[in-house]
Amino acid sequence: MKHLQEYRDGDIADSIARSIHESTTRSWSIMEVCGGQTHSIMRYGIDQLIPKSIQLIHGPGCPVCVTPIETIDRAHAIAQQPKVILCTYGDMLRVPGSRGSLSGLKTQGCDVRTIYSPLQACQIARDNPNRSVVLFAIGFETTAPANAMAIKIAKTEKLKNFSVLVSHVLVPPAIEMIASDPTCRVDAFLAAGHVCAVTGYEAYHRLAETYRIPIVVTGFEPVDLLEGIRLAVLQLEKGQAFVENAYQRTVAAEGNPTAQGVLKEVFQVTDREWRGIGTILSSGYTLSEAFRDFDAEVRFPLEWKPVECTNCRAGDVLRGLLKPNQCAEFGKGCTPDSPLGAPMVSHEGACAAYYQFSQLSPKMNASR
Amino acid sequence: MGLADFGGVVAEVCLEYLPDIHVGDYAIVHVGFAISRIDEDVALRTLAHFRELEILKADVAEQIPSVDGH
Ligand code: SF4
Repeated sequence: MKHLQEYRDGDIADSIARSIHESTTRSWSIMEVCGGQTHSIMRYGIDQLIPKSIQLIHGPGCPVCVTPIETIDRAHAIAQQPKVILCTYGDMLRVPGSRGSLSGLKTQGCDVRTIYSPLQACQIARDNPNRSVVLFAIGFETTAPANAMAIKIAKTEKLKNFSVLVSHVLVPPAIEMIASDPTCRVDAFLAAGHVCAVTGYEAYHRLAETYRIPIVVTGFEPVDLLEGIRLAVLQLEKGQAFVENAYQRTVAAEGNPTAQGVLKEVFQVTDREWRGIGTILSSGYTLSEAFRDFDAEVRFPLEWKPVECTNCRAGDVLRGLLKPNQCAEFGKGCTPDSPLGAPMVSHEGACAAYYQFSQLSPKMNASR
Repeated sequence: MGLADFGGVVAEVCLEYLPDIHVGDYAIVHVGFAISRIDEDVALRTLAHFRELEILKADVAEQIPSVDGH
């Protein structure tokens, strides 16, 4: 893609890193909220380019990681019902629930399908009128518009054999939960660029003001991340706290109003449980009244008691209290091939990022 | 729906959320949906701004870790 290489350019990255070194006089902790950014940071060794006094804390922005075990177990139970086809995104398949992962069900003859777009679930429903197609809809504000559109299409086309298990979460309430914690160690946030591309960043002004914390909307390429860190450090050093956009080529202040309109129509805000973290008020979506008929939780009322793996410290990792390699199971009992927790599975999980990239030194060259 | 070229791999993408997008534009695509148009002018302006940073700091001889390892 055009200009992508420039945003991975070693010389530009160098000069931004140098500028960060020159501006930094104190220790700062900066949280990147999004797991996609955690992966970029590890992959390009961004943490090794910035001053040692700046700590990057990895946030809870891994949708697969925060999907409650109850919901994974429910998806598991639904997939075992007669005539069901369960559709979900790749990472979700391998996440351990208390009865194993969804991919394990495939070997038992259950029909679990990996999709890359929710529109495929609509097509599967059209093609299989005698089967019950369930879309396991997880994700942040980036994925929500796509899932919302699939649900809207199902309603318009009266796809009676289509339903959706919704486990959508929202970023600003999670930032607020972290920022409002009296023991909070985070001095500034890098807000996830692609989430803001949908929602805009108006909602962040109140957070920056209330908690006196800089919030910088940041992209995913190494140069984007370094620029996000640079702007955050400049604010911190000057004692400022406001919302800044370091990802202007993609994010407009108002976001994507068309997508927001559909989100408002299909979903309504609800309290959500975040795996390993607990319930966060008004931090997720459920189906709005007009779309309740498509709720898989109502169609498949199933009961059980979930059991978490006691050795997995995903909750501490997701809250930024523990680095993945400080977990006793990291790389020993827990690897991407046999994960104990979701953060070791997902391409947005911090444990997987550390496992994949921690042996590497800065490697921007390789991509040039 | 439209066709998007992901660095060589062409796939169908839903364009419903970007009513103003044109052939040849760049976009952020997430789970098969284009959610944001990339503004090329802004992308270039930001890069120019970084280059200024580079020129300004070029003569500051400070030892810091380098991306290139030099
Ligand atoms: S390394 Fe594995 S066991 Fe430890 S917190 Fe991460 S996912 Fe859980």
